[in-house]
Amino acid sequence: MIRRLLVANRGEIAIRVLRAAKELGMMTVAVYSTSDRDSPHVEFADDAVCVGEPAPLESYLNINKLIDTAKMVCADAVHPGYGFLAENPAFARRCESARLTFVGPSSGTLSLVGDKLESRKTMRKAGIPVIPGMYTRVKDVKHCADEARGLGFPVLVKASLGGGGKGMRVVRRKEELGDALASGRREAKSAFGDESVYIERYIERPRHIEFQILGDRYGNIVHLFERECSIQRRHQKLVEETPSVALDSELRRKIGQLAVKAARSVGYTNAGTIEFLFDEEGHFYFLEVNARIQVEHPITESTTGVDLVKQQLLIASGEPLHLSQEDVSQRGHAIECRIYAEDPENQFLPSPGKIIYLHEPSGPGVRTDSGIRTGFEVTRFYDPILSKLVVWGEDRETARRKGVLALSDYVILGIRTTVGFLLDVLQHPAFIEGKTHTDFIERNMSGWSESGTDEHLNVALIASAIDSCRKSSTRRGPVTVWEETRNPWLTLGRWRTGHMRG
Amino acid sequence: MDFQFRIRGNIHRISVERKDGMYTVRHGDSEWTVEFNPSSENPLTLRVNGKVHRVYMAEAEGRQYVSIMGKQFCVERHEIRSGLSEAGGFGQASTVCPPMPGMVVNVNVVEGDIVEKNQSLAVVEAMKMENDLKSPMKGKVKKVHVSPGDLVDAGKPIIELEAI
Repeated sequence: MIRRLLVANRGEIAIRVLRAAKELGMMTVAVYSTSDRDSPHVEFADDAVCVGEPAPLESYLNINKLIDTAKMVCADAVHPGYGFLAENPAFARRCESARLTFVGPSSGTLSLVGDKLESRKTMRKAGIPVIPGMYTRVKDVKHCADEARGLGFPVLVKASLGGGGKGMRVVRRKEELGDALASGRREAKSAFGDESVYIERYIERPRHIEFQILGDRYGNIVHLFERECSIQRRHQKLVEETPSVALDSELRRKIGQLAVKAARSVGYTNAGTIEFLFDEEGHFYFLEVNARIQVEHPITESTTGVDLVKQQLLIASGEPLHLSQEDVSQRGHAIECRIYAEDPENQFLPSPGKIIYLHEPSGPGVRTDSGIRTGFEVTRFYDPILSKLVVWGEDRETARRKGVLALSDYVILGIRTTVGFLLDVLQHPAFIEGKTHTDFIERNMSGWSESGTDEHLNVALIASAIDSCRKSSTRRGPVTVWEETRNPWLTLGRWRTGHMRG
Repeated sequence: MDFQFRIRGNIHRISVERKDGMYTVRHGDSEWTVEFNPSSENPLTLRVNGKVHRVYMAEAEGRQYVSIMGKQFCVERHEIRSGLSEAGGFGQASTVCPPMPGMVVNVNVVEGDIVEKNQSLAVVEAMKMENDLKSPMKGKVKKVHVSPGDLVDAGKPIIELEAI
């Protein structure tokens, strides 16, 4: 079993991993940049080491610093979280050379699945449906145009080493191909250091459904069902849920088996996700492998009862999977809402600043995985995710209502966040009906504003007025109008001591 | 007591009257009967015309942030100056503020410059996105509060203009 784990990440996921490690009896070490000195994840670990300046390249992405720190604290394992170095084959290789257990798949698997073209080829060979398209990179515009002609428009230009929508361009007519190729390449070069692109058929209004898998080092692989992640903005997920309304039990079983087959074909170990796209005719295609624990993992945990991060640590410790496919089942429905420090009224621009008041909702079936606290300073250096709200109910409608109540009670004052926006997403008729496609936000939420109803505004004014009254009253003197209402002797009404009633 | 609050750019006048342990709050044509639990600090529990609301509030830099049923508002209290109009008559001033916190990349004007409507006054950058701050009106630059390299907050005036 791993004895001392270093968590090479920050914020909510660092706390999540530290928690699982502590539950397994491991010693824990956190790392932080100078701007994260007062961050909640730092205090959560047994030990914490400062690894550099705020800019990610100086700290959380600084492989040398992280490896040196792990050695210095005598860690025997490193968990990379998500983002940062989680899917970086070079980091995994350095851990392997330093004899540090990397909690994730091998560096070889990471290299393979990080290359979209290689993944497509591997999956096709394994008999898994892939989106019709190229299996080699685009050589020049003519090559690309020939391929596009064969596929039929619209097509999608994609970066071979890409993710997060960078380098992606939809092309609906052949005249647009040249420009799309050039700008896609530029973006790919700038984001990934490699301008390799390819094209595939563009799927309109897809549903984005992914399957969670767990694989141990002995060849045992299971899937833990799907997650529906179709509510997205600029290729960033905002709401996820499980189970998906688009799958019946037969389809679920069939795709689940394909997901396991896909994982096996790349020799996958530890936790990972196989992503699929569903078109409007009900066809589904392999999209990519996410070789990390994902942001939305809690919804799978809520419905299956399996602690995925603990499983990661057990697998990395060399334990065989104690779950078989028959052991895994789903119960109820879970929805996750991602709380970002962004202004939904201003194109979701980041909203750094100080959180002057925080109140997180609670109650049965309400989980908040959070990396913030009152007084926390959100900086402009990192991904703006603050926390995740995960609700569970016996069915989708119950979970949805719980989500609405929980969001109404999620208070983050001082910065703009996605809370108010998410509240309206969850109450939108299209959401209630399960019409979740990747264009949900464009179609249903454009022109959204935080103002809410007149009632919200009126109550805000009334509360401010009452509060101002209260504050000015206490300033006036010892006996004030305000003091009277606080004095129980004056408000109690008629009473007597020592006598029983009646 | 009378108050003036600014929410989302609009100014609202509110009056509060206390009678028999209840408050009557008036705003324009609307009137509400309000009771509240005096020992509730945060959230403040109010009963407005019989309906219960839990309102969270916190103050920073003279502004009150309020959260009601998941919606957030920023409330600024304005002093009521009897007699004087808000605009202040001749030489109406206008302030230019950045929409998001960031760093000033460029300042394109100096005090005394005459600017046209939509002329670029300054550029503010944050998270690798640049925001061009354009003049809301034709006027004269009265005051410039920043220089390139300064870190600025959203909503804080960085340039002041006056009408000509």
